[in-house]
Amino acid sequence: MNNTLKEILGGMSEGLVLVGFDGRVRYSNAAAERMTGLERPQPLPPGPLREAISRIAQSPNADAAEFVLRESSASVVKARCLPGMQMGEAVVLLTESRKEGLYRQALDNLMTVIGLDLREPCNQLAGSLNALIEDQPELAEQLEAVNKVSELLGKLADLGQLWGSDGFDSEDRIVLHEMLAEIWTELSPQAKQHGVRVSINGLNADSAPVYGSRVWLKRALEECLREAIASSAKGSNVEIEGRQIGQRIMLVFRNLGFYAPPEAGSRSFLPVPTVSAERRAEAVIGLNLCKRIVELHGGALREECEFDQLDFVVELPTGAPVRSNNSELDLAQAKRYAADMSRLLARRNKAKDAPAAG
Amino acid sequence: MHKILIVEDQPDIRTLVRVTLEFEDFEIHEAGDGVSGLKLAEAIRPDLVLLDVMMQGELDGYQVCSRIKANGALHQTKVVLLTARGQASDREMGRKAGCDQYMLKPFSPLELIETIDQLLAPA
Repeated sequence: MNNTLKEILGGMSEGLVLVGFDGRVRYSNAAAERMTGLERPQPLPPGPLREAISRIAQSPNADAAEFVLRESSASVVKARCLPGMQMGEAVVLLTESRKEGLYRQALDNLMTVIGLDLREPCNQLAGSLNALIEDQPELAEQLEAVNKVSELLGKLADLGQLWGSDGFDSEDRIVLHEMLAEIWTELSPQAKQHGVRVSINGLNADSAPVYGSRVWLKRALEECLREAIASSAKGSNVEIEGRQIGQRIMLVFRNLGFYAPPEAGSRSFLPVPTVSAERRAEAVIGLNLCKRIVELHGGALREECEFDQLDFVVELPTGAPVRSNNSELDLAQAKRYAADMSRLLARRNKAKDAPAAG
Repeated sequence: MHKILIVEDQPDIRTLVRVTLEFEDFEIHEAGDGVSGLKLAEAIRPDLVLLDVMMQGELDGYQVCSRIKANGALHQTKVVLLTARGQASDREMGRKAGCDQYMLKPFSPLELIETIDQLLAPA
């Protein structure tokens, strides 16, 4: 086989195996090796594939044989065996399909357990502790711990809900500076308690709006700011900077470090480490939730870590999302047009006749 | 002849609006997004702008409408917002942006022409 053909076959996403009638593998591309583990010049193990090759060897004009070669809980590998292009050879085409339905069902089950069996009792426990806290202030630590677990379970449940979704139905008009101001109002007590100052720059009423789900996007941005505050050292400054870049808006949640007077040097902020391994482990779920929400808005979220500084960068497309219901609107519009057509023509004819009559 | 500018990001809808306007004698101009629509409005000073609300890009219809209305050179330009957003809050936003008329999609071509005629009729 020449190199160009090898390269073409090697890059195929479907598996391809060339097998001699002696049952030995003559060629298998990367996808086939991944799906079956078959490599040249391995002999085929006994089984349906070997039997199919034998049948082709006995009657080369036989129809293609199709069967399930391998099945696991996550995927199914189907094989199609055909006579080869060369004498004494058969071709096996392999396709792998993921069992999305099974994943979805497993995920739904897990989310039910998280929501009903774990989160609900957790919330009830938090309620009970809350009722007791006035008389027994020593329970404050336990209450905080239960609240944290409940919050984490809530994030997991939300993440599960969004995982199988391919978009939001809402097309709310979201003005980011207003949304960030709202979030800041809610999180300012946490920032104050943590000794962290927050500034919002670069966004105003003229900034491009984003269309999508107000509820979910607020959830994501709130999580970013909460995490930026929680991972900052006491006394440091967090900046949220908004920048319009073409048809996208970029929000950077940045830890600036400690403020230093100008005489300390040319920089007015001194960096402080923000990344704590323990906190990061706790934040992973929240971050994945944010990522999913932002992705469902057509954007991207990434972490940028430099000199121990951790920035969250959220990029969102501005303006209307790519519409999924275009065809419905087009059809409805075409119907209205058809309904008005005769009256439009009559109106035009009347207008044409009017000067002649005069 | 009155100049009309259509600002709409969906080419099919833009074509339908243009075909509708061709039933009358208008000078028709078109733009596919808010930024180019605003630039074109400033350049040609249309008598009327038919403006979609939800458009991809840096400016949506409400913003374009506000900027047209804030531009002294375009003080005679009428703006019709043409949108699938029919909530009371959407209409209120249109009113705040200064639009002269708010029409819902799918729109009646006949109503559209009648609305334009009314808005462009001499006072």
